Amino acid sequence: MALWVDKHRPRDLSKLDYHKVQADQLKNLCKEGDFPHLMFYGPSGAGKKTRIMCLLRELYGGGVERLRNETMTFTTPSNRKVEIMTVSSNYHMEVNPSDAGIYDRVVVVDLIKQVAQTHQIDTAGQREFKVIVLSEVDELTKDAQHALRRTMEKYVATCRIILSVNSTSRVIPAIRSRCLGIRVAAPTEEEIVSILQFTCKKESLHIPEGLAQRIAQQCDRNLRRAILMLEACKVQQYPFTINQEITELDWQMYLRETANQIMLEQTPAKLEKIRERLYELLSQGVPPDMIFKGLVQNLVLNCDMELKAKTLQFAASYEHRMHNGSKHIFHLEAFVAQFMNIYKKYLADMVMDDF
Amino acid sequence: MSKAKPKKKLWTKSAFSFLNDESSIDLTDEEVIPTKKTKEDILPVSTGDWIAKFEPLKVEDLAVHNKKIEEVLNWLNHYNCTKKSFPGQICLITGPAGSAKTATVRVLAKQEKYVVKEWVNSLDVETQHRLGDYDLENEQTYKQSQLKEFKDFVLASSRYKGLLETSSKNLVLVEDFPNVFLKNTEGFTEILQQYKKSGRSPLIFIVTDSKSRTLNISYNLFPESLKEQLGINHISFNPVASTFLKKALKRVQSIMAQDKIKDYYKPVSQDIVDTIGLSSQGDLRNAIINLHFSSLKGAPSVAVEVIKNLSSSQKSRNKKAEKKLKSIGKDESVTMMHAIGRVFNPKYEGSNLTHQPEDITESFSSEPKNFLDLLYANYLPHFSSIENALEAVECFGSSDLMMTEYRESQVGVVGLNVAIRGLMVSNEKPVTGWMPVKGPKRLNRKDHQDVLRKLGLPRSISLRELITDYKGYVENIRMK
Repeated sequence: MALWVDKHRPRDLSKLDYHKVQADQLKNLCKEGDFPHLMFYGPSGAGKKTRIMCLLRELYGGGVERLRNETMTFTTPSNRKVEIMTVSSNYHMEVNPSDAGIYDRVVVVDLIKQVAQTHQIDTAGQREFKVIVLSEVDELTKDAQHALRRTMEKYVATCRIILSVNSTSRVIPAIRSRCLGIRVAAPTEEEIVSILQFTCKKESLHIPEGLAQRIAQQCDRNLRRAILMLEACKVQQYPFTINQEITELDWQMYLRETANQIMLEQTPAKLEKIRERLYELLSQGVPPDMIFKGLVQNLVLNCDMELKAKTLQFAASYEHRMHNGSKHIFHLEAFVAQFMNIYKKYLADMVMDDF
Repeated sequence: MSKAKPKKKLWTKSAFSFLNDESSIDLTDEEVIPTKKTKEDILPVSTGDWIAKFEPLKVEDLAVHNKKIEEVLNWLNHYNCTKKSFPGQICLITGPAGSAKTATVRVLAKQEKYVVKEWVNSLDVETQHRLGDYDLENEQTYKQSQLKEFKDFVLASSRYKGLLETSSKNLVLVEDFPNVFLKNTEGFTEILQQYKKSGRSPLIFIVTDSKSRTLNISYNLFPESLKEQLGINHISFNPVASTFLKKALKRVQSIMAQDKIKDYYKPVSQDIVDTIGLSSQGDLRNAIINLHFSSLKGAPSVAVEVIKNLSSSQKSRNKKAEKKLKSIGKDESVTMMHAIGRVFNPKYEGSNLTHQPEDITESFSSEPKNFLDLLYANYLPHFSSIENALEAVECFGSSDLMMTEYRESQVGVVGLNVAIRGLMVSNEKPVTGWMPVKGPKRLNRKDHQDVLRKLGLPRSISLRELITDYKGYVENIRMK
């Protein structure tokens, strides 16, 4: 049984629910003979992938939906074998090179070479280029990004590259300037509500307005999460009621508990306990930037304005360092230590004020 | 060995100078060389392998714990019982350098009447034509591949007994691993599998522990899965304990005092022997070599320096101070554990640190990341206040940033220095007391493709999307 997220994903540019002007522009883009490299950017769950697939369908027709999974093997210079999952049709190939970890450079270069060295078999009546979709390019190492820049130029005759990125700030300027940037902003809460209602209609269910609004508020404007939440709610209890419980993600609860513990005690011993929890999250695969975000959101709840500003400032600087470094845990712990420090001072001042 | 050369003032002191010219010794150190030297006093060391004299002959002589010896012996006995059905069994012995691995195997093999056949890497010498040209027409100059040679050796020597040997019990020993295997682990695995099937004798591999990951043979060539699959017995040796070390050194001294060779040696004071034992840090080979060279007649002055060091350490009666003693000709080697102690509980001499952060860094400059991880795993219990811990963890952050910079090779070492210095300086009130040392934690992530398959999701979903969005909900949805 397909999930609703996949089942009700729009397959055509004209069927998209929001950013309709942009959809028209994309359509026009396909009418032209030539086609630039593209970079879709926006928060996760905003609909980048959906738009990319619609665009490919517009370019090549229904053939792009006949997908096959393939595992490609690459050999690194140090003779290590790296396996990467790819999803491809006759016209395009989709890959997430950051899965290869520190060997992403090899994947980027070899994969594009392999795809780009063969031309389309029959150019009459179709495009003369193939498309490579690279997701999460901002997670790539700098090394791989520079390699990508060079390969993009070299094989422009036979292939176009569509990048999908969460934040452009972590993509090197050289790549940014080679692509046409397309911003996919997260849907507004009203848009999410209407999509939820539309989805329920297709499933021939009834959803009360209030529940749809509560889901829209809880999903962080992440449409994917909203629809998954909706389906989870349906499984839990149907017919829907306005105040029914909405399942929360376990890692978010875990993060909230972690933040509470930080507020309780500010000692090195506690810091070590917190480290254990952070390790747990990291080993589950929760991305470190999400940990940062979740911690900050929960920590500032009990702070006054001054402390909030300080916390945010420190979080920003430590997160920046984390992206430049390789040991995420060091910087997460540094942030927690820093917060403990300022929070302890803040508490001490409060006690002083009372006297 | 060599006749005394015409006396000539040498400007360097040769390590073996006492063999040919005594007067040259006095050049550098006036105070130290005390006694007169005459031709009779100093005899050339016999040309044989002097260290062979000190090798243990009986099981009682081994400087190894009885339990360990038993472990090896048990394996051999077990082999004896089961060799009818499983003639090709394999054993892996690991341990730090000088922990008497080889000696144990050899002594036990002798006791059990095995003939040890040891693989020795052949030298790469091209056969030359008589006229000096390389024989290009005959293919004979091309050597067999090392891999094939190794395989032939292992299989053949497990089966056939030597022409002049009386015992037909062979024991194949491999200590000297052919280099090809570091690159070609599959080839090695294949040979082992074949041996398991068609070998006829016990096969023992002896591997010295090494710090570097790429050169770690037991890690690269003997993965757990292979050990399990082939039933390879793994026995790991510990560094020689100090009591055993003392006993072994005493034995060596008694051998030195034997009639035949006592002319070469002078008795050394117990202080020096203790120092040698301590500074070898459980490396018996190193201890014996040091003892040998310091007790040769006419040995140069180093002993004095050692005694000086020792007396200062005796005063303070401090365990750490004892261990840092320098021994003859060996660089000060700090193990990770000592270094950790120095970093977390820094000592001051006046206003200066006793151990400079630079010195500690230098000991780990070949693997700054490992040491940094170890420090990180252990630093928090030593801090009593969060302010100080904050300063320390900031240093870790900077250090990480520097180590990530791969374009400049030295930055990593500077990064380690920053972390070490930060830890030493920032802790105002270190927590004292015994604290167990923890190993660095490794994140082992599960393969997310497996999770996708289990949940029945399309395989193009990335790890990030799976964890942050899909996993929690889909588990709920699929439950029903």
